[in-house]
Amino acid sequence: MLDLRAVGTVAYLIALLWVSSCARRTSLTRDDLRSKLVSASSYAAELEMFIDRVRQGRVTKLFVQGHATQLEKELKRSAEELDHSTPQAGTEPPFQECRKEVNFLRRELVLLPTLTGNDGALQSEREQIKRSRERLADASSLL
Amino acid sequence: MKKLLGVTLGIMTALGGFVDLGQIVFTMQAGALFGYGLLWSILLGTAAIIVYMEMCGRVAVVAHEPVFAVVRDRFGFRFGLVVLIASNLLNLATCAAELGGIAIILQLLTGWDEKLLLLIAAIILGMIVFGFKFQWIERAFGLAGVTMTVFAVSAAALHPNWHQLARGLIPTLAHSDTKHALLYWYFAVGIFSALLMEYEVHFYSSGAIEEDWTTRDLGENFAVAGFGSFLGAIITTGLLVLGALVFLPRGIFPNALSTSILAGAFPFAAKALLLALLGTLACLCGAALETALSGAYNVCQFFNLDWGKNLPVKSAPVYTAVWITMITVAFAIGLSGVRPLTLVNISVIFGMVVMPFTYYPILRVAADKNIMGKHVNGLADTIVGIIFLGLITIAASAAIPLMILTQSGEP
Repeated sequence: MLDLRAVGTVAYLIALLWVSSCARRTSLTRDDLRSKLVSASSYAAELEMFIDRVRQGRVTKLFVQGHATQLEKELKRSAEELDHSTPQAGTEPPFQECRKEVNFLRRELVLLPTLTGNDGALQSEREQIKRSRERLADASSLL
Repeated sequence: MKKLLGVTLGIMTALGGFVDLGQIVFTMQAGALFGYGLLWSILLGTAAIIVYMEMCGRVAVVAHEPVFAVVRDRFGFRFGLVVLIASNLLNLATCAAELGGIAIILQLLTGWDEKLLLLIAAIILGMIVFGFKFQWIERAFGLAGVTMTVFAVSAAALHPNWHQLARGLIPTLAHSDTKHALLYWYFAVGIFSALLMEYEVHFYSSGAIEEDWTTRDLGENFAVAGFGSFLGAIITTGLLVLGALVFLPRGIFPNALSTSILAGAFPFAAKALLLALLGTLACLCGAALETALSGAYNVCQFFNLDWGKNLPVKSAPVYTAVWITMITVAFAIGLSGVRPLTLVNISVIFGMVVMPFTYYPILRVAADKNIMGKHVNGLADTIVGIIFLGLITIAASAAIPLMILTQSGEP
């Protein structure tokens, strides 16, 4: 039969690794940060597309609410990862920009379902998100 | 006429049950990153699942040997047990991912709290398995899953460039940098593995025994495995095309299930979105049930215990206890807040690692004249089977290193 002690030891080591990886701050390399900026920019682009769909009346109200909740959860996860990270020396400005824009996008997502049917407000929000995406591109070019 | 109807129904069921969360996620993300460049991976995965599914069905019918009885006999008890544990942990992760996906879709349809919907989904799925016979479960969800064709229709309505699409049948070897190359191969392995999820095949071959197939049904086995998977691959190609046409030009990497569903109805109005939601819901429900039942089949077949959805609960207590446990633990995993997409990433990549250990014994039995008699693999079947074993082994060896190097496909 399988050695239960060996199985127990492996399980313990995996648990230990998991706990320690949760606790420590991770160092963000230049490549990691570039990846985070690409991801944030992707969310911004997705939000722009989503707002277009809402303005065209191609999604239901419940979908707007649910999709905004899902995207906000994803951005919250990104924000938490950034909060627990330390940027590599020389990458602080794009790192801070990335954090700022991710939190901005989260706030916009919370607001979005309340704007359904208000075309002017949706258009203005889309413009702000587009500018956020441009700022993310600028931050990326600093790397 | 009745036979033809049965075969058609079987093909439609296989088509509807072909797509699951792993395929939706990996294929759309691949399209968003590489356009049509990984179409060859869909073709290869489809051919592999046809070969594996047909062999499993034939072995089940002729030798009356389900997959995990074959694994135990060929590998021995100890190593077979390791394969069983690994396979069932993957089933559990997949079941939890599908259950989480179901809760997300129900939230998009109702606006209710996701955790409450997770509980409702787990209870309803449990009641369905408890109350309905195998054939009803398989056919109802398989046929409802046919509504997933809305994804293929949407893809066609966006007028893909067919010439460029055809060029995707040839793998790209030149890449702009190492990261691009690693991501390309990570998604190639991901799509190949997502098409080849072993729970589908274990469920299918156990079903052949549940439905008392005989050697006269081998034609139906071939038709269902071949045509059902081929038509399912068209939906998968639709997912790739949508990723390439909706997300790639906008610089979007779809990281949420709701994003993928939005693309499924992209050229159309809100009614098509509803269809995309219902089609995805049916597919995920089918996959959640198949993984839970597959876990129960695997355990009982390995330990040679009574099993079967059509048996009374008292006659198959372990079987019943295992599928109930699978759904309960999957629910608990979902409740803990793990992202369904993270779980699906794990199950697809680790699924590839386990695959050679269930594929190889089936290939050996299918090629064994003493067991299979006149239904043994022909020379061509064996050669194709060995080629795919080689490809599966290469993909299995590369899966985890690629997962680590790409940080699970982070662009």
